[in-house]
Amino acid sequence: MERNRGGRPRHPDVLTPAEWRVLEALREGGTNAEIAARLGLSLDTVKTHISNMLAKLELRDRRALAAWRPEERRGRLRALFAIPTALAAIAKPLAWVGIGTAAAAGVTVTVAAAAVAVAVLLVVVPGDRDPSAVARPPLAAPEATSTPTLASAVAPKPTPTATPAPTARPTPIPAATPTTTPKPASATTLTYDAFDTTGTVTTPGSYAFLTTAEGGTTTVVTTYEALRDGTTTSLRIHTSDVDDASQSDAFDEVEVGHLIEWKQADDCFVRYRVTDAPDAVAGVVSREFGVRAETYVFQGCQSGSLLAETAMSFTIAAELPLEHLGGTRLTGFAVVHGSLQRKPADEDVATLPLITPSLSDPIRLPSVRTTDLAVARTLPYWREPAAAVTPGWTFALALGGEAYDHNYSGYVAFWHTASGYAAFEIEAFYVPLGTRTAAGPSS
Amino acid sequence: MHEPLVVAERPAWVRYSPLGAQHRTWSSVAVSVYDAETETVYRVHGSIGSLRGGPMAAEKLIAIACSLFLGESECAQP
Repeated sequence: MERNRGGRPRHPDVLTPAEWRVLEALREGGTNAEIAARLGLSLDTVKTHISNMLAKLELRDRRALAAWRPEERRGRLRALFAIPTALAAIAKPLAWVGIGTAAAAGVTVTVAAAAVAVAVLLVVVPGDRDPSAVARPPLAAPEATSTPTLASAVAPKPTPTATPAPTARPTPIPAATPTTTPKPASATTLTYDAFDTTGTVTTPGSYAFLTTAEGGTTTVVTTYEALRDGTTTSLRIHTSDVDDASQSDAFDEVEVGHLIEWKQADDCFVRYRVTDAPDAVAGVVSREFGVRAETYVFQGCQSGSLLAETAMSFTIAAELPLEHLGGTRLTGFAVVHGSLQRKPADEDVATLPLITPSLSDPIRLPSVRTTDLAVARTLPYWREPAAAVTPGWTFALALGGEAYDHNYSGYVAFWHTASGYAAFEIEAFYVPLGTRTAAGPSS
Repeated sequence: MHEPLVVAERPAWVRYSPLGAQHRTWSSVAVSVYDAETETVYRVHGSIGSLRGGPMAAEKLIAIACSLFLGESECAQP
């Protein structure tokens, strides 16, 4: 067998055995943490393997990686180098957060309208309202199901709808520098300025990435919110896609016109503009804000493995019913993200205030990784499921603090079936309201 | 589909794939419950096939999530 200079045998296969194992686990589904637990690897190791495979195979995301087969590589590479419009055909929802805005096709003159389409709806609930409103009527019942509606679980209790969310990162934000050569505008694409996070245009009218995505899968976007007291409006945005990639952020004192920010990294974020509700319903004991995607940067998403020329997309479900949020519907839009930031030409983002979350820093827990249930039970706010609903299933692994997620001061616990397969996981997200300590509840 | 509901007397929401033409049997299903007393969101996420997909999986996960706070008898599946 051929050996590298360092003496380590070079594996003849395109992927190493370890990478194949991670790939197989990825195909079975689950998060990186879940794969790590299943294979007995660290989370970083799993991320590294996935990142290496994406780079080797020149694939754009884990979804494409899961679908990859050796014989398909050639075709996949061709597709990646195809013209931008072809990217739409191959683009599928990204294993990142599912936040969409509008995308317009080709030379359509409805670009501005599409670009400002509502991506997320927020509902601000007065603090003194009936908290049971959280348990609003369910959405349209799934068709052809014999299962009762899920909203009938347990009777509501008057509980304040405080905002459960990790805090977003503070501003100011370092500028994200484009790493790709901007594409020239063409007659069939839309052109936006590239600009940094201060709003300074770095490459005027030089790059276009919006195009029509075809197909794709449903991406769900929902929001949660609360009024902390009688004067402070706090919004929580929770976004997720079908791959379970999600993030939540909370923002205080939000007003129409503000920008709020969803941020994964300095070069991976989305900013939203808070707008008036598109069609608020009179008489509903709630106030709605519309929020639309304002700017976004994709360079640093997915651990930097994103290929410079790879377009990505995710789709908001067409006619996503939102009656429980006041009778509003989101119309389906598809958006394909390029590697540069977008700035709608008709608005000056830099002049708008950027909301800085006023929540206190989350509690930072010591890093914990244990397969010992007794140790896991020492994690603050630890909870376990009843044996009756998890027959024969056992605790397998818990990751707390930094080992769980550097963004959250919580933990995740994995439970396995009697056969040793991953059954489910329980995450605990601590809400940084400053009224408790890492040791336990303050009251 | 996201659906707000109440689990174990706490505000919660569940995500699952509704049955029908768009149903995905392997879609992730998750139930998130907010516990105001501890200011913590507990999120139960199914991994195994029986805890993925549609409303049946959601019901099972709701029962698991409920049992984090209440007794077994109060969280029995319908």
